[in-house]
Amino acid sequence: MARRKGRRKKDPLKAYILRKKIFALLFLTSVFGYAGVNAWYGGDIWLETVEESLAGGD
Amino acid sequence: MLFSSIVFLFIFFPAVLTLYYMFFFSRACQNVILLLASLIFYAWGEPLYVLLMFASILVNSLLAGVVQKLKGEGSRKAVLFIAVAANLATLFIFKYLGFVMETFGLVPVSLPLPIGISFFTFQAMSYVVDVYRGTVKAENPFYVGLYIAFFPQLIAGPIIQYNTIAEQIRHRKSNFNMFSMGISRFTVGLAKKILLSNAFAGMADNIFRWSMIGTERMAVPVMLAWLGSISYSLQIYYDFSAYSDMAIGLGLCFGFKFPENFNYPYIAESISDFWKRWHISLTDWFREYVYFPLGGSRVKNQDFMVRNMLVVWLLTGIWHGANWTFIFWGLMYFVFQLAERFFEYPKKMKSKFVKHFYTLMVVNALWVVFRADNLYQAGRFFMNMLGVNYNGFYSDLAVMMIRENIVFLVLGILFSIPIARNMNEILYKNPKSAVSRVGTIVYPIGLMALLVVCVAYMASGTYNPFIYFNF
Repeated sequence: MARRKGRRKKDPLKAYILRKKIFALLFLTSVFGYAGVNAWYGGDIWLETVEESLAGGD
Repeated sequence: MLFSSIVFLFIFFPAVLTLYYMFFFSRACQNVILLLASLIFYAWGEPLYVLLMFASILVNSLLAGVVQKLKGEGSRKAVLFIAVAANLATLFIFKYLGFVMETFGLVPVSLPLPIGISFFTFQAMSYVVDVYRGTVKAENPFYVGLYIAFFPQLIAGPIIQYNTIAEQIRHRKSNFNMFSMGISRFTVGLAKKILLSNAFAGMADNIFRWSMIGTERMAVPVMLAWLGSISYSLQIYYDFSAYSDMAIGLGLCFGFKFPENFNYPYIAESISDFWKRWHISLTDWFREYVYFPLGGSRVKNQDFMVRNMLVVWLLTGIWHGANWTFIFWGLMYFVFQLAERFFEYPKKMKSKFVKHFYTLMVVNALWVVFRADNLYQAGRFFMNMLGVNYNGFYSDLAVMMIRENIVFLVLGILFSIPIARNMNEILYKNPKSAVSRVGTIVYPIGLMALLVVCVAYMASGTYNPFIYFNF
């Protein structure tokens, strides 16, 4: 039986899902990264930063 | 707990996600984790009312089980009646008792409103009714608990019917594709809420407050009144649709596919069309459990159809809150839908622009009633909008507010029409095109930038109200 020649048609959703996957990886890295760093320093870095900025610090 | 809070985003969500995927080998364990997480999520803001949630789960599971076991139609109906009455009584005591007492001149009892009570009570009620109808089988309290309390849709919907997720609770597929779609949808919702809805909330709340300053109602100029009403129309859309986006997105992250709740309501061409696009799950619920059982529109006598519509819209109004404004708001929608059905004037309008204009004007005007503290304020606000309150037209303040929020206003209006969806379709028609390839890089970076901005807003404690939490 002869094999069908020619290139396989590309899935139009592939690029759509790819960009979502890239974002998901960035999201997970940043959220877990923050959670990890926060746990390491044992405090709420965000809130401290905000308090500093509200108090007029850098 | 709010989705748009640091605690949710950086503590609760990663913790639940980690635990959930650690038990990838056991669906039962994953379900236990989701149920416990949901109860913690609810208890975070309502430590006492989590007991009410427990009671709702247990009572509804028990009664549904009894309904299924009983053979006689009379006894089945009696148990169903008890279940519906118990749910409605809960809703009445916590949500409407104070209002009814006040209406009858009694000193109102002021019980704090359990968050999301209207949503989870309606879900619980629909479950027992479905078991009675035989469309679903009675499940153990654990599954019912997950259905009622599942945290993504617990507080502000979408209102899901049990048969939609019965199969998903037992056998759902979750993979990285679904997770990616879900987390992207969640982030879009978060951005809609934090960046757009909150900006409109600031404008709308200030203008409505100014119209009520002091004992004498201040007359705000026409321009300012219109800016207030349009801001509120945009606020409520972005507030609620953002919550639905976040709920649907989080559901996908755990393998659940929830139905859509919004479909660009502000492009509707009639009031009937608007309600096919706005809060779809609530409209479906009332149609399925109130309108059809009453006979719907397939009745011999037109009067019955009018009665059925009246009941549905009266209940829709009351569902939104214990205030005459909500009742009037619901009744006005009844009047417009009835007029559209009998006179069919949206179909007779040839110009699409006129159809959209008519729909937007009615919807915008009725949001004023919805937002106002009472009918008197709504009336005064309308007078201000029409310029018949000796209030003048021009307002420097309105111009200043528009200048300050011009970016949000333009984006808000643009994204309330399906521009993003259409762009997506064009972009991915030809995945090989340069634009599509650039989009693959730009999209995740852009969404990430939006997330960072949202987190900065959340951390700085920016004004962050959620309208539908009160329902």
